[in-house]
Amino acid sequence: MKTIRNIFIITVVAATLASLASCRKDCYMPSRSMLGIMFLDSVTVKPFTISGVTVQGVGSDSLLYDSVNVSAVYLPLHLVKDTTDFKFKVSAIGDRKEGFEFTLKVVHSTNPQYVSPECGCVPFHTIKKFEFSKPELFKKTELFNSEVQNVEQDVHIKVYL
Amino acid sequence: MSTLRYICNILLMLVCVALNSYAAADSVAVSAPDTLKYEPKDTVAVQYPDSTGKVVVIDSVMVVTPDSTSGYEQITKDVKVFQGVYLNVDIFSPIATAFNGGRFEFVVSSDVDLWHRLFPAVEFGMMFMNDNNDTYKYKSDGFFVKAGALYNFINNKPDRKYDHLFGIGFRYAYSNVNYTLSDVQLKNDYWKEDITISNAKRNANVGWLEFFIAFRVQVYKSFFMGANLKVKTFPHLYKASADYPTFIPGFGEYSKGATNFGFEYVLSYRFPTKKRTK
Repeated sequence: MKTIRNIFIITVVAATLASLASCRKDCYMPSRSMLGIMFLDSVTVKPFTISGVTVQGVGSDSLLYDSVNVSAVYLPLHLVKDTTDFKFKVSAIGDRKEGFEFTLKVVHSTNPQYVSPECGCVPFHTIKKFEFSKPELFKKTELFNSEVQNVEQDVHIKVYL
Repeated sequence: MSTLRYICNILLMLVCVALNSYAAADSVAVSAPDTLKYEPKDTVAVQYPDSTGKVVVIDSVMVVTPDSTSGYEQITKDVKVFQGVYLNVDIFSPIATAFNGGRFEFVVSSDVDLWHRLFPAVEFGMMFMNDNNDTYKYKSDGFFVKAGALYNFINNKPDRKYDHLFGIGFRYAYSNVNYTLSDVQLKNDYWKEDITISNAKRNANVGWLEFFIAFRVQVYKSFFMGANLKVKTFPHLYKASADYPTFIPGFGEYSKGATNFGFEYVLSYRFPTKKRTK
């Protein structure tokens, strides 16, 4: 009886120490929330690469993308405003190589989210509305997911070409 | 929907285990008749003369009355279904408060011993959390209830010396939690923004499943100590929401699809019910 009791106590103490020692200290989650826009082929519904994409936030002097070929872009939204505008320059969309310029306006709200003790807080956004200045360039646009959270390469707006 | 399917499967499994445990008692009785001793129920002395005229006395004729149940069957059928009520207190969670950032939690539970095989149980606990950081303040409190059962693999015989237990079990858990996130400092390098914002107090209802291995050792008469190793999984908010509580009472750190491991060090008291047979 005493042996069983001793074994039990030792096991419990060891498990306690092990569980305390295994406390996590590093953050393994994304610490940013980015608006994801994906370009899709309207026929095949597969990612569609557009050439020479340059994206800049309206009001910022920094470029987010500079003449790159992409099928998706990930953009940061304002924290202090509920509207964020982006200016796009595209050198070619498929066979149309004349070069295009348009803006995207996103209306959203911002809420902080406590993600974990290791990662701290991250801003979450809810998209209320979006609007392209030249919708005739696209076959269709769709709000796929209105919740912008700290998920890597999450898609929120789908643009069919 | 898949969670509901899991719950249904587990309930079904529990019913099967319960039925099997009762049937197992009978089947053991049938398979072990050679260990039994038949006691003489009646004896008569017989005297008669043999061919030489001497009197022969036979004094040990045993008359056995046919009986449909053996002695062992009688014992197993006489095992009481209800064998006690346990009151359990987890002492690990309050101690862990010192290591987990000011999250105080306690759990009390009660389980019922049926055949010393099946232990239906309910748990109740509360959590109080106040995490003040340089970049945020998170305050949360709430309660949880859990219900489920455990199946014990050892010491099922009525003539056992100790009531030790080793088994596996499951719980379905529900928690109601209030949480407030305030004075959050957020920064955006691209837009060159710094902001301090707060959320209003929010409430969430959360459910999840637990599977566990349990040990319980009888240390002195009605006093027991034990340990539970738990896997907590399939967390689901009852109402879909973009934001969520970071800590769920009884579950721990929450995120979509999270699985947590838990440890409980339990002190138990069994309310006295000494008789194990009818």
